[in-house]
Amino acid sequence: MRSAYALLSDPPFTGYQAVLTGIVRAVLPAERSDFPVTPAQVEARLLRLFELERDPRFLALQKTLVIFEQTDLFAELAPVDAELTARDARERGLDAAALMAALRRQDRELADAFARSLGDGAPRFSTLRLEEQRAYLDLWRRSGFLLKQQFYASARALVMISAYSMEVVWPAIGYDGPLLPRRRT
Amino acid sequence: MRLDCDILIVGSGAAGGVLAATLSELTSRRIILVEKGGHYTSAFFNQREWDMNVLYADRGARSTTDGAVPIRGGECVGGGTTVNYALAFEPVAAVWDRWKRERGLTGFSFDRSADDYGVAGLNMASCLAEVRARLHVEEVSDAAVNDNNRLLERGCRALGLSSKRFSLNMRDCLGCGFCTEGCAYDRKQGTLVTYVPDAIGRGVRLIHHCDVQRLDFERRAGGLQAVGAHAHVRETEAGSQPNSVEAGDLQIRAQLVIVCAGSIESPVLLQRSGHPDPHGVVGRGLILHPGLPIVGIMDAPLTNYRGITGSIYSDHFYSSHGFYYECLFGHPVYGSVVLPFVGGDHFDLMRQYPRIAGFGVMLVDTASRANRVEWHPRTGQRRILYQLSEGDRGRLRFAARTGVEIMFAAGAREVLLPSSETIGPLPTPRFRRAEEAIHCASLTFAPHQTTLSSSHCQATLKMGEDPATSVVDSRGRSHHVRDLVVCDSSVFPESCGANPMLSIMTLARYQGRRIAAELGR
Repeated sequence: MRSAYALLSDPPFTGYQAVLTGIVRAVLPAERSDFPVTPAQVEARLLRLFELERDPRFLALQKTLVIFEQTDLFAELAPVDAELTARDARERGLDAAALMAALRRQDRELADAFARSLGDGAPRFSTLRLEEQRAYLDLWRRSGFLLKQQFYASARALVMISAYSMEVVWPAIGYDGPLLPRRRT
Repeated sequence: MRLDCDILIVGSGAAGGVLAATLSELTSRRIILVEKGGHYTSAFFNQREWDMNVLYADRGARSTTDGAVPIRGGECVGGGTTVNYALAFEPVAAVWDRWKRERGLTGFSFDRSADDYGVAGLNMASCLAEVRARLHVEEVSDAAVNDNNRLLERGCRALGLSSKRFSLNMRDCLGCGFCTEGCAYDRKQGTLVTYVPDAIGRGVRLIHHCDVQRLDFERRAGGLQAVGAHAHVRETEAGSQPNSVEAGDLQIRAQLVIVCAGSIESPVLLQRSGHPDPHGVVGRGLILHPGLPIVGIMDAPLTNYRGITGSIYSDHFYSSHGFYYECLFGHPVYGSVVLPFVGGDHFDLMRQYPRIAGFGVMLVDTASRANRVEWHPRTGQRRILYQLSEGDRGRLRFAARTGVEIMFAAGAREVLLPSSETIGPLPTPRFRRAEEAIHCASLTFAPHQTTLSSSHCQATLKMGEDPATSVVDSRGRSHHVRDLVVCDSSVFPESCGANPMLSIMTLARYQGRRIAAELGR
């Protein structure tokens, strides 16, 4: 029900903030003391650089964040992008129906293995332990469906860009950076 | 607002900049040059990757629709020539000669004595010479080769492979390492500091921040004719030069419309404008020149991003396997996205930054109809769909394997590919010994498992004399709309066989001289 609502409407920030926080932690070395900034600092920068609430290009990302929270729905999400994936398969002379079935089966296997690893835990992403969050995020990378992969790549890139554009991070990776001051004129 | 001109040029990059300068040099026509991005100059370029994303299409976030292949492209005055590494590969004459044979193209002689289309001295060789002179193209001196490039040279030599020094369009490069953030010292000779100022000096009107919504076609004498464009001029962003018109809607009427928006935006613009496509060829056969980074961890720190970023390449396998090794290096924002993994594994790689060596495979990929750029009228969305063909995968596996061997031969302690694929006994492509490179034979290059990237889109509005397989003819004229010319990398029938900047600029100089001769002053 909650996910159906997310597909139809513009979710409020409170509807996906905890998921975003979890993704930032999962992508960053959150458990490492030698990483010079905290996930909270990176998340704050991410929200400054990418105006999720104001820029309509991020609407799909917001909706997906809401759906992402429901880890037990992972294998059910194929129809979201089935049309695009199937059409591209036909373009390439592949058997679209067989390919779709194989991709769904693969997602189901990924989801089942993940669910087994959780045991009886709650299926909400934001409440998982860090390693479980990483494992769940990785399902989206390994899925054969284009838009799941796209979400993974986008979410990961938003976090990486936010973190590694922070000049305070550069000494930790030995990057001595620009020769020019930030403001020049 | 409405403006009238004789020639409207859409896009100010490698093609549009050269055309605007050439047509204003050789004719007295009124020319308007429109650019989607802003007009940023060296005083604005501050060497910060993130700040400078205003110079890129989709603010640097453009990629294939599945998000798997980032497609970098300049979207500012100067286009790609403002943000590239200034690698000036000459057009590959053998490729153009093949296009002439296979697609019936006329002109494009590489014989310096040829007078193509009856125009005195018009040939590709003379146009290339003119472009090279204007851009100050010179081979990098041996003294300017930095550590990272020297490693590629050393690795190739150890394996008995040839390597060469790049020619660059650069004047007295300072070696700051920030080519891709715009040259803050005006040393890189892109169209931003050469052809576009030439054009403006001769009276061409530049309008930037200009979104061309559609080209205007009218039905006249039984056929369609291009008569201008509808556009919207955005507010000028901070840091840009001022614009020559107010922000707002703009209608431009023109006698001739030349589209130079690149291989992603040009086909989208034609589709959005209702350009006829009876044979389903618009946007089809996209070429990306997929790049695969080969990353080496060295024992000691080296100069990698400082100095001239790209000075050494190897074309040893170009004739036999269709790929190059090219030495390049990225800054941390781009690097963090390209390097594999998340969490501590990723950070541990990033911490190796001063000891990382890198070069890339640039694959000359083969055209497939299914690789395409399409525009959806219902959603107004652009889609870029691309997959490697099986043949291309095979060549890329060989290139990866040999690349890993080169990196070890150069002295790397460890070599890795930006990939999380399991290959043979290796959980990921992270090699401790050169002998393990053999496992590259198992790479699938599956999306989001191995990172490929692209900066060289081509071939989405192919030229040819047969309308069933091409969109424009040898003159770049649309087969279906009169007074509409396309001139950029999209008209290449397939890969031009090298980094495309000089091929595009030579083509633009050539078409500009021909159009000028055919129009008269």
